[in-house]
Amino acid sequence: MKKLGKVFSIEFVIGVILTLLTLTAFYFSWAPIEGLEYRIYDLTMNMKKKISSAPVAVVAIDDESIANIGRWPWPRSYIAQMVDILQTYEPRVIGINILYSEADINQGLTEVREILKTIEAEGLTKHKAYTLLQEAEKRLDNDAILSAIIADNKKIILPLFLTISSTPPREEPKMPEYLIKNSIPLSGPPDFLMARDITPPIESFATHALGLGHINVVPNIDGAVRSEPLLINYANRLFPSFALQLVLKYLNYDVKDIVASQNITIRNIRIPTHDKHTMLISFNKKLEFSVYSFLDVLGNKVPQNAFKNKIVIIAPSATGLGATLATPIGPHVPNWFAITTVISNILNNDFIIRPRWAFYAELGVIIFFGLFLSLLLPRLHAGISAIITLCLLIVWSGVAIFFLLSFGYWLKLIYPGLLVLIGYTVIVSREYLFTQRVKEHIEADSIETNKMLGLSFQGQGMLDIAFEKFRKCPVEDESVKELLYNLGLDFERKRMFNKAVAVYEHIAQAGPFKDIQEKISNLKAVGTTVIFGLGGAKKDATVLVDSAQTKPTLGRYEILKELGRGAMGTVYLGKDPKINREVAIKTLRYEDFDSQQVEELKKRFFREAEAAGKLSHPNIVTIYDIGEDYDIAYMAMELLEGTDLAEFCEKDKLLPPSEVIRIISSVAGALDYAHSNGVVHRDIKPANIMLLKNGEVKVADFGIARVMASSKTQTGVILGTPSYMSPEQIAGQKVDGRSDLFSLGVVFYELLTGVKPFEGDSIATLMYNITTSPPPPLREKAPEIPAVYESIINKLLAKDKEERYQTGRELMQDLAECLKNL
Amino acid sequence: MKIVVEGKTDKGRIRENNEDNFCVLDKQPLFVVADGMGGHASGEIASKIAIDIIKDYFDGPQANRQLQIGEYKTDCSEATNRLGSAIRLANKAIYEAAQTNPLWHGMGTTIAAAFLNGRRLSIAHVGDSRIYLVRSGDIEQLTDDHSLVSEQVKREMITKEQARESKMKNVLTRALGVAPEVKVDLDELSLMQGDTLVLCSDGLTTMVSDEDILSVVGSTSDPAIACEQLIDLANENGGEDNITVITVYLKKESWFSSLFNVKKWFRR
Repeated sequence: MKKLGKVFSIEFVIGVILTLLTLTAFYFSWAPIEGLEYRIYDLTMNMKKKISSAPVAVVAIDDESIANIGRWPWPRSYIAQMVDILQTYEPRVIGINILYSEADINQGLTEVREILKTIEAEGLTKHKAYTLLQEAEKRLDNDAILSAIIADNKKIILPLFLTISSTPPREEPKMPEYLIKNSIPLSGPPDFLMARDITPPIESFATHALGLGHINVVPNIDGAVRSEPLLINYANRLFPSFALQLVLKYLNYDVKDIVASQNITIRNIRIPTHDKHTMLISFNKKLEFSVYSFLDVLGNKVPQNAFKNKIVIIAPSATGLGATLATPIGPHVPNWFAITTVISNILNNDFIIRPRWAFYAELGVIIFFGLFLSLLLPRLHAGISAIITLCLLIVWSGVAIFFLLSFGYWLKLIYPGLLVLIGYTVIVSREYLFTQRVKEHIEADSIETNKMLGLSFQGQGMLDIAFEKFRKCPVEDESVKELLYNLGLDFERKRMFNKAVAVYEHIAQAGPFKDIQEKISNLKAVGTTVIFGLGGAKKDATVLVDSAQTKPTLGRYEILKELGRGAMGTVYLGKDPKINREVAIKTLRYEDFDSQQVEELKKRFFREAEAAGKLSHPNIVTIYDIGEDYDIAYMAMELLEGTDLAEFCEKDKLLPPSEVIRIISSVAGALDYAHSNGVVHRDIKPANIMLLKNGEVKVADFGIARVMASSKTQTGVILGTPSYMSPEQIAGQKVDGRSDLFSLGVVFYELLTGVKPFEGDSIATLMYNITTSPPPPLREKAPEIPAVYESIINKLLAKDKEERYQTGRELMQDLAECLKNL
Repeated sequence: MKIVVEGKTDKGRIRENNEDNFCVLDKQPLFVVADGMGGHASGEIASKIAIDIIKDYFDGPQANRQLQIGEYKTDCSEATNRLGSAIRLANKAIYEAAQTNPLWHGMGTTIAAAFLNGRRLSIAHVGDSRIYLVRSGDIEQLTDDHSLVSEQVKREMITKEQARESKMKNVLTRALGVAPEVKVDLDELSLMQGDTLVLCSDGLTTMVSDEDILSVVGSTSDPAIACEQLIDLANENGGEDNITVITVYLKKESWFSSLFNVKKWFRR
């Protein structure tokens, strides 16, 4: 469960959320990110090194032409004149990128026509003026002139304009012949841009033109043009674009050769298409084609083969005239540049494709990055994670750019890139902010706190703990050395030379410091003395025993080794040299107490030990001897081999009920004996009941609790968890044998069930439960136990001591009864 | 605002030793009362460690380190969190000290600490030592005792009257040094001119009613006299426990001291 919790860490959640957000944005092509994507696309486009060319010559109506020829719009006859001139250069096809959607309105022409009408009405048609006027009419009728040229030339492509809309035209329009000729019927899924209105050139032009193509551009969200709508659906017919028409006619193909399915195919040309059959324009700054000024062409100043077999585009490009487009390669690219680029793309087979696998590839990369963020990143070190993240970013953008430049495969690199970038920033900064907090805490824990605690302990005279604390600080640190050095001096002052040596040697690990080497050797000379007695702090009165050869003794007992630490002091394994008997020696060091208290404490210790020492019962640990040596009071007692009952209180280590009854019965016997001798144990708990290897039961530490618990009414003493205390003990009332029986009841309950009868999540609730709530029914916890136990337990655990067993003997009798029935 | 403060402790009539400790720091106004407990005079040690550590934390060689110990409570100010950290550090120190010596096992202390940062008062406490605020003739207990009876009263298991008679009045539910971690109650409030703070151990509050504290604090403006009178009163009523009192008076600065400040103004 913990492991699971670790996997679903907050980083993981952040990673998953970010990934999901990215996927959502990716799926719906979220505009801001899409915009960024275009930016990258544009940047990549500008990185193109390849030079491409197109068989295109542009006749630009530039500023110079306007300045020399006259203000725009020019009479259409000028264009007609130009077409006429171009004719001599033998171009393959001529595109006039000027939309002539209205008939020319010419004030002069109208006037002339009026006059002609009048003359005709008058019948003066024979007059020379009439002929002159008729000639003037012809000269003035620009539309007629241009249309005649168009008809004559047969190479002219004219633009038309479609009004793009998401709705089809309101009613099926009547399609004139010339429109039908220049479009193909819609087939397949209507996945095309749709138009609701059409603006063709005037009829006289349109009917004679070689082809008509729309000049619509479809900018992206950011206003830049990146794709060409090759076909637009108007009234269920597909109209090719101006550029496409030029290509078709250049190749001598017909509109009917266009097949629009998944892609657009024109005979052997396959144009991969993007969204809505648009073609991604592969812009290239280094596109080679020629541009001539209208004026130069008019003045025959162009080379002879300038237009031969080329696509010629007549397009306005003077400032304020021609439309410019925002494109990946620049914000003001003339219209005809885009047209030329499209022509070049188609003719050179230079396409940009969103391959069908691109979506899945990007999806895969997003998920991969997401996994990296949520699973790997939080587990990496800061440096490594930064490097890996950077590598991922570089590799991914490298791959994407390479694909675009070399194969024209456009992969959207921003979504995954942004995910990894944002994810890294969020997770690492979060980690930084939060773990930094925790780290600060931990570090504080290890160094600063330790220093501070060490100093405090040293100030309190608790040099051992102070040393322990300082030891946790890096000894290489000069300030730590200084602290340790001072501690060493303190140890010396207290004549704890071996401790001082230990401190100095600890400093010496990190190289020489002040006079420590000298001090160490000096102290070692002094330290032929060993210091007896471990642990504890105030060691002013530590017993010094000369030379290590002599065994330390307490009274007449030789101290062999330390057995453990008890509630009141260290327990040693001792030997009585006279009768060669091994004993356990419990010590009580009272240098740890205030001198005023020592007398009182000593008195109490001996009184209790004396009382306990009088007890002689097979189930009570025998006390052989008590005494006092130096500043240590001790108690020599029977050395027992066995374990205490604490071990058998766990659910899976419970003893069989009959064995439990035997033990409880033995303890009850011991208590009965002790109580009748006026000794109350006061601290019956599993840890104080020994089960020896031979099965014997021994109760230890009679009355010790009394010594340990201060007789003075303390402010409030919480000694560990008072699970075994009787209600009257908790309330601080007088304690007698019946309290021991209550505690034994708790032990009994625990040995049978493996749980304590009174529990609480805090000491307060525990105490409250002991004093007020009844124990949970025994058979609820251990249903297999006979009902008779329940009543015994309940009687033992009665809140009112009058309701309990009054003596251990009563309990023994009931238990014996119980055992019989078992 | 001028702060006048005095702290006093007395071992009472019954006890042989005084396990209470307190400290008053002037430089950065910090007031702490600790009431130690545990056998063999270890209570004294516990309360002394607590006071020393907290004092060191604010005014020791390492004071500027601003260690954050335990959880940082974002809804409390920096100062309050520092107070919390200091107390948690003290807890650690006492606990670890207790581990090294069986005789000290189970020693602990209560703590009530107040730190004044401008007008903003940060308070923290563990156990049954209390902080009172006396403001315009009213006394308000700012802390909630962590004792069994107060818990029982809170859970409506017993009434306040029963609580006063309870035998378990001295049983604490929380104390410093009995566990490796301790939950410290933190709070903060803004003080006003004329407010008085009283920090005290339970030796005072078990012997002297809130009303009496109020009347003593209100009858004088000298913190030393207030402390003395409160301790005397507690002793007269029995003095069953060690008594420690810190009184903090927040006074209006007198006109001449503001004149002093005007001088300073010109000096700048």
